Amino acid sequence: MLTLSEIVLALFLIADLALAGASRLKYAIRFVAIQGRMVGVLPVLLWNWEGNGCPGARIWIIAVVNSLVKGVALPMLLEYAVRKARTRRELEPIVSFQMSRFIVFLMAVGGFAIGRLLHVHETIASELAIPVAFTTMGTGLLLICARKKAITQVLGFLVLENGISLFGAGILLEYGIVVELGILLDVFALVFILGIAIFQINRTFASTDTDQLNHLGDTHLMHPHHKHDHVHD
Amino acid sequence: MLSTETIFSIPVLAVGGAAAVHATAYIHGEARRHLPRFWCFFVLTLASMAAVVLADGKLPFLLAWEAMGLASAGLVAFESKEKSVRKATWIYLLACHAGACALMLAGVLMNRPDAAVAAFACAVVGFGLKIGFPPFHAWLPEAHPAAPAPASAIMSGAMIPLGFYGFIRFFSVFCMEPSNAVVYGWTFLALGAIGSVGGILFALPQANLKRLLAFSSVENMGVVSMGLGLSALIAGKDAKNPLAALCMAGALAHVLNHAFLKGSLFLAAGSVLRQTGTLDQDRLGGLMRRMPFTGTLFAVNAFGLAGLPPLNGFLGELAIYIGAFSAIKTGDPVLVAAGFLVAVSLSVTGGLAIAAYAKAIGGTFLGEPRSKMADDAVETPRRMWVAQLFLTCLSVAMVPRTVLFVHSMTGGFATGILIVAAVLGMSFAAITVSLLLIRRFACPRGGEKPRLPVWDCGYDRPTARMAYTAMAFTQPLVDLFRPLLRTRRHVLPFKGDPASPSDAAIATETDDLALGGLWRPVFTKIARLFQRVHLLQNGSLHLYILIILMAVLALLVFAFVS
Amino acid sequence: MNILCIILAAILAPLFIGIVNQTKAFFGGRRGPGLFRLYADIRKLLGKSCPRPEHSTWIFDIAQSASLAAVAAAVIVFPWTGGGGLASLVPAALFFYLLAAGRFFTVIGSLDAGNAFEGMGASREVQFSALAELVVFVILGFLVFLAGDISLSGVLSGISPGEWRANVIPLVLVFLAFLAVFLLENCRVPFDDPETHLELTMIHEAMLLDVGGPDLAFALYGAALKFELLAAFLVMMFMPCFGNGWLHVLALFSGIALLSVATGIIESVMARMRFLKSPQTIMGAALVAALAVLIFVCF
Repeated sequence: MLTLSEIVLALFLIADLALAGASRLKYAIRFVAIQGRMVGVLPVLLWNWEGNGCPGARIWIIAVVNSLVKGVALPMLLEYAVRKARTRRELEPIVSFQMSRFIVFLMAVGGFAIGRLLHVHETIASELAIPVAFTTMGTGLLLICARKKAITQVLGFLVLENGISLFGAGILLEYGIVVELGILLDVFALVFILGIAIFQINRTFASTDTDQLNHLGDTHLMHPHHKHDHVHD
Repeated sequence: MLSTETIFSIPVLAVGGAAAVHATAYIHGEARRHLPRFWCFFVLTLASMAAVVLADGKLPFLLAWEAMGLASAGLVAFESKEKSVRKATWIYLLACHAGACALMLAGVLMNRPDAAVAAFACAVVGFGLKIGFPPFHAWLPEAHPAAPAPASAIMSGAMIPLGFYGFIRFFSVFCMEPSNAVVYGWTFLALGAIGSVGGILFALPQANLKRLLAFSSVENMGVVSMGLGLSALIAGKDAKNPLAALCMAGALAHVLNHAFLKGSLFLAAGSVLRQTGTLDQDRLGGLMRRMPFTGTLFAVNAFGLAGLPPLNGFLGELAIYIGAFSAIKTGDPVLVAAGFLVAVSLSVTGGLAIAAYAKAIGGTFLGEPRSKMADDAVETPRRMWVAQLFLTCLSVAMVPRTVLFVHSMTGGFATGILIVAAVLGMSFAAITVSLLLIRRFACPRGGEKPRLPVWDCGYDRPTARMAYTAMAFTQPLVDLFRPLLRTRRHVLPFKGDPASPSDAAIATETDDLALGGLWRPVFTKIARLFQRVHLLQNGSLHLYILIILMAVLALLVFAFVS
Repeated sequence: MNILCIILAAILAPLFIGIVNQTKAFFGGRRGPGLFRLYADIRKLLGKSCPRPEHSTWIFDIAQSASLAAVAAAVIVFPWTGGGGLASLVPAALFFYLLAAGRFFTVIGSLDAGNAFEGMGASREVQFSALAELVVFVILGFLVFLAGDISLSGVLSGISPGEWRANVIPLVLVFLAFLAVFLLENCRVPFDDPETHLELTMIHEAMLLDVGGPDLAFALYGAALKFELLAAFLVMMFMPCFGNGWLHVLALFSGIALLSVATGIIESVMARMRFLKSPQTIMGAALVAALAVLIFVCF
């Protein structure tokens, strides 16, 4: 059972747990960066070396681009945004960290069940790939739903994307890589925009708590610390 | 081998007898005026419990069951001058009647072979209301603190497990067709796992000693239920597997062990209440020196109920543990999952039980008295602690008896393991004694035991009010499970000048999740519904005539159509 | 031979604490108290009188003896020689329940003193041990599934290099989870710092504030035995089987010595974590162990 790729996949699972339990923004970004680098190298690791010989240039390019973008560039951007926005460094959970980790564990159980159900053994690269992919997607969704800070939404999207590319890499889709590059572009744009947006929002409102941004719904601009004022004006 | 009837009637007689002896002294002072009422209900309860076990057929069983509920409700209502007691009695009566209704339905459905699972579901509600399956346990933490201690002892020790007797008798959990075994087994397992972990979790933050013990009954019934569930699952795969018998034996042994241990603990709680006037552990403390017999027996029984070797509470659980791990060993996916569930739930229960019982012993009997009532307490009349002693002796006797019992039920399977476990427990006790002897005689100054003031970080005058309270003792664990427990804090903060602040206080309160979260809203909804029906009976004659007319019309239409 | 090994284990126990402390001293650039410091401490304490708090009862008097006795009983059943003997009849659950019984006595003994600090220590002890119990039993389930045997010697029959290769992921995860339990139960960094004697962060030592003389000697020796015992459990769980002879014993004790050095290194390079983080970490360990079970069972 032991191959390098499986160790990476297991580390991925641990990184999911760690992400769900990370209380500091800095660590969360760091875990996402590690995940990004792992996702980058996975296509090379999962390549059937004995059967297909040395992988072609396409795979190598994908690996390098993926790890550079997801593992280095985006996390750096996020760290820059955090530094600039001077947000509080603690994540504010809606669901407690303990509970989040437990939910991720339950997702892993579900992921393994799904992996059992999806009998795609012919094309599957590793038995761990699909459960880990589903767990990672779930973790991404959890981060999006269960944390208050806007920046965690960005992180969540990144993790979700990691899960999707893991799924693609895991079942060795022929055109998966093209699709994936598209998604990567989307996410890149998203992170970029959100990164700038957060910075700008922060400059205007001195807060990036999404709870307070909810009050932006009507056209009034209001100061977040007097959130009930707008009813009267 | 003991028959099921014997197993379930032993607690009735043993705990009943001990409780009767205890009650002669427990009811004192003004309350003695109502003694005839107490004895009437007490004897009726015991008699109907015996009748439940001895009943021959379904109808006598149901009659005895209903009588048992009514008679024990009379016991719960003994101190009916207090509002809280009346409220608890209502909740208990409601639980009894709802249970009896469900049981009648189950009795009817049972005769139809195609409705076996429906009958089982009704029985889970009916018997579960007595056993205290979650979420039907809501009456336990209300009724036990309200009832006089001897009544709590027989209800918790002997009456609650009778629900399992009903299951074993009418639903032969043990031998049945495999398809039902899966349903029965998982139901018991799931209810047992939730009950055991949840029960002990809710026992942790309780300040009232009897409320703590009541929640711990939920826990122990959960353990029994897990044993029976695992047994059903294993038997469903292979009826001849000795593991099934082992789990069954472990569960039944735990029924007996729990009866003696918990009976004795409730009696001790009654003694504490009688001598101090309170059950609030934060206001007790230091009773071990003032009530040495009661305290020592309480400590021994609590140790046993925490499921620690060498006492009997451990051996029954060990049998279930062996069953769970052997189920994991088989490699069958269903059994592996079941085994993991049981092993993990039992371990969490065990770890939390240590915390809960250490709190019960420490808060009530150890340290310094935290109130004048506790400071002034004296030992109870002799017969009160003799009743406890009787049950404790039975518990100790259950150590070898559990091994024999499991041996006879399984035909020698795992006997060696249990004997080793029992002997090891004994050797633990023996090593303790020898270490004490070494300390006394082998150490040059071991006989000198100077009394020194308690070390309090260099502070000069430590008082009892600085000691850790029972609430503080469990606070970290309670905080950890806050989302589930929903403990409420009532804080009276410091006011005024910081140099001479006013009095401050903190109190915590943890309500039962099932009562507050499920039953209260449900019954509020039902009450609202019936208020709407109330419109039909508003005292106006015209409306009544209209209703009669409508009814006649409807009947006419019905007659013509058919 | 089994009895010889038990005696050997009983004699060597304080040495391993010495190894930990010497390692820490080495990393701290100090000379250190010497490998045999604990022996001397115990000898000195045994010669003293046995003080008690003002209002304690018999519970305080027997607490330390009983908790040492529980650990001693666990030492007796432990399969020091690998396989066979008493340990093949003892279910692994019993082993941990014996340790729990010892802990129970320490806890109620400390509550008996009526000291606020001891109450605090006891409160933390029951909190952490309840969580550790969860991790331990998940791991036990894993080992039972792996070994196909519920007895202590079966569970500890070791893992051959081939099995290591085949299941390295779950095995490493379980190893990490049990390492966390090992450090927690022995109150070592990062969960607790044995250096900060009598400070408020202490879990285990805080319960011994009013204990002195032979009782303290019992407590210190019990802690050393427990360290050795859990280290032995960890080592035997994962080292390959060396048969039932002296070779096994040699491998076992050198493994414990290595683990002691490793503990010393961990304590030298890590800081104690924030106290409120500890329960989360141990819950995390439980999840990691459960994950290992999941990965292992599903393949």
